[in-house]
Amino acid sequence: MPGSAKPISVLGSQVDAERGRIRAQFEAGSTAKATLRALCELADNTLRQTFGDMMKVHETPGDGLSLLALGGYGRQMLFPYSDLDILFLFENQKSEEEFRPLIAEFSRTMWDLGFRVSSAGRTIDECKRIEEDNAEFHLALLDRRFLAGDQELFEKLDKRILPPSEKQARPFLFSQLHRLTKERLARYGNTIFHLEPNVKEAPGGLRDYQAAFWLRQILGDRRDLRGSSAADEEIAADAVEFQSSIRCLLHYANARNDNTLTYEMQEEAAKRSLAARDGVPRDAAEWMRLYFRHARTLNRQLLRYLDQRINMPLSLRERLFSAARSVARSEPAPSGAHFAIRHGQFEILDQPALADRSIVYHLFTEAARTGTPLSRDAERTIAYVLSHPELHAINQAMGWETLKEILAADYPGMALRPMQRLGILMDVLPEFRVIDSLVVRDFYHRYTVDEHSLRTIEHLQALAEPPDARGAQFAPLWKMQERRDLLVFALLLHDTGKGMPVENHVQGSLRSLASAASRLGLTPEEEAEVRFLIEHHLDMSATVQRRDIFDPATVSGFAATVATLERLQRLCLLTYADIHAVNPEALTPWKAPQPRHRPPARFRRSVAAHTGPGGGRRRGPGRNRAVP
Amino acid sequence: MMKLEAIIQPSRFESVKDALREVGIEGMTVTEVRGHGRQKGHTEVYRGREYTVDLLPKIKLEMVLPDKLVNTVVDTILKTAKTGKIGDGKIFLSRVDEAIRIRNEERGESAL
Repeated sequence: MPGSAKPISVLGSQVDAERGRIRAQFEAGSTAKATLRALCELADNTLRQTFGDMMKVHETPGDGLSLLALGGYGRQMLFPYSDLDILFLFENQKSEEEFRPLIAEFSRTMWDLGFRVSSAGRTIDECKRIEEDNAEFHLALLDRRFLAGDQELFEKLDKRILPPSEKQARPFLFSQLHRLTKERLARYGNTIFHLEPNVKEAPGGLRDYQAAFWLRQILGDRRDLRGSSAADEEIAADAVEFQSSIRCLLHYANARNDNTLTYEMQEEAAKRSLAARDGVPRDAAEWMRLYFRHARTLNRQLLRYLDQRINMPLSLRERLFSAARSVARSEPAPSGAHFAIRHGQFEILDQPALADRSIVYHLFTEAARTGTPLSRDAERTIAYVLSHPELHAINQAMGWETLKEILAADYPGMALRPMQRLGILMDVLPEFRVIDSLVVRDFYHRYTVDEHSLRTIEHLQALAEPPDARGAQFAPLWKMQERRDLLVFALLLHDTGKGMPVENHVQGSLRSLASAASRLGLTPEEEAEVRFLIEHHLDMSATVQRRDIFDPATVSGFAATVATLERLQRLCLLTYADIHAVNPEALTPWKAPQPRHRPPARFRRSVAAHTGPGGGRRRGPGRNRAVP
Repeated sequence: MMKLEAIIQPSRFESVKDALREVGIEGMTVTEVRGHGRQKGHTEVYRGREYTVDLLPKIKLEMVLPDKLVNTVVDTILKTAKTGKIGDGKIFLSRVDEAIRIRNEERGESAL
């Protein structure tokens, strides 16, 4: 019958059957890429069928209306419970009025067929204008793909209208995407190491890949990016397949667009060896190490693109100001220098010199001393040198004196982070290897054990300029600390026992200390101080939270343990950092150790009574003073 | 006894109220509310920001019914509240264990 459409009941059954088939293939081991393509094809075919039927029924050729796929759907990456991002493109306002009832009917039909349509409507003139408060729409438009309707209208948009306006809008799109990405990464603590990561939104997730893809498009055909684009796609391909497999699993298991890789789903993924090509059976913790490796790939790629700059037309005043600022942020390199600060980051000037590892270690020491980060290029250069054994290396071992200098500096995290990323931290401190990307299931912790340890150190270094009123209470303790290196060293090792098959992780961490101290050559006094901190790193929070701190017996017991004011101060700082690094909400006012609340007179007398005859001074690292 | 909650378009309220009176429903509670369904409050030709969830004004009707009236009331609301467009709303039914008239402590269906 002319103008008749396939009954929705028939089409609905066909769509459901095809969805079932795609899912069955995924469960049987089909790749994520194939699954996403199949789902996209199903959506495309259904949409075209429905749209075509509607046009026939309403006896309209559809001139002046195009359907476009945007965003993930435009890129043909459609997950089982994702929205279909669609744009209804109109020739003009008149077309919009004419097609409005038809579009409403079309949307209802697609919803009834189980597709989650997320649609927008624009005239072609409206597409020329950049909406400054709707950057997400313009970014999604970068992935436009014709679906159905007036192809000429689409070609006009795609080839004639958008290219010049997108070129002109590049600085705006770059700055908006930069801002949105930074905000998103910050919401997740700027780390990939979450215990139950969101595989779409968290750092290292699929949004990182999407953002990097967009940044490449926005940055355009730049010579320095041209070659890397193909290489980046190849490197990212495995990681994208891995993350996509997880997202498909989560969607099917949850029957909704829920992208959190919970502990239960980690177990399930490990049991299936999901996306692990080598077929080696793994437990959940080991499988998560694979996850973090792929997450790191996507995140690093994104961060490299975020560091790029886009040329914006500047006024003369802006050019002069920018030049002056650039000079202020750069330091002239002394002759013979191997690295220098450019635009507020360390850059390598002499790559071959890095074969002498002492130069690399000197760079880390300077980063820790000045608080200046290494640029991504600098890290890549170091990684290149490290991975090429034919570049004959000298002075490879980092001794305790050098490590101590880094740990005692004002910004140890500035060195330890790149050292961890480059694998140098684990060369210097193999004891740290057992907690690399380690997921330990814990209701309170948000991060992996290694990430938690590094965050404790960063929370301490932030006390130089306290971020909040609570930090301001601890800042004086940090500023007066002698032998910060021992405190920071204790924080590096304090949870390594969690990566060992021991009942009490503190005992495991003490074993790590014994091994590290012997190898690095700590003095007996230094080792004793670090041992104390590791052994008692849970005592203060346990005492404050679970005991009556105004009970003389509690006070005496704790005083007997710490014995000196210096140890009390170090333990206080360690406890502050440890709780703060569990997760951002962990350090509630109730939990924060309150140095001012110590029962003054009785506590001090108690501590003094335990410091030896006459309450005299103890010798050891730093000046351990007895409490008067 | 069943409790019926219906979220409907404000523009359909008068028709629904009149139709319910005609089938003998005299007691109900009406609230002006805001909400959205799976379409996030977006129209088909949406021009706002994709990640904005718009809360649209709706009317919520609540009433407790004797079991024998439930189907009649549901059918009445479905007939009068429907426009066929996205945003028509929903009806929820839940069992009620007891109803008590405060004035004279009458209980059960006779308290309705």
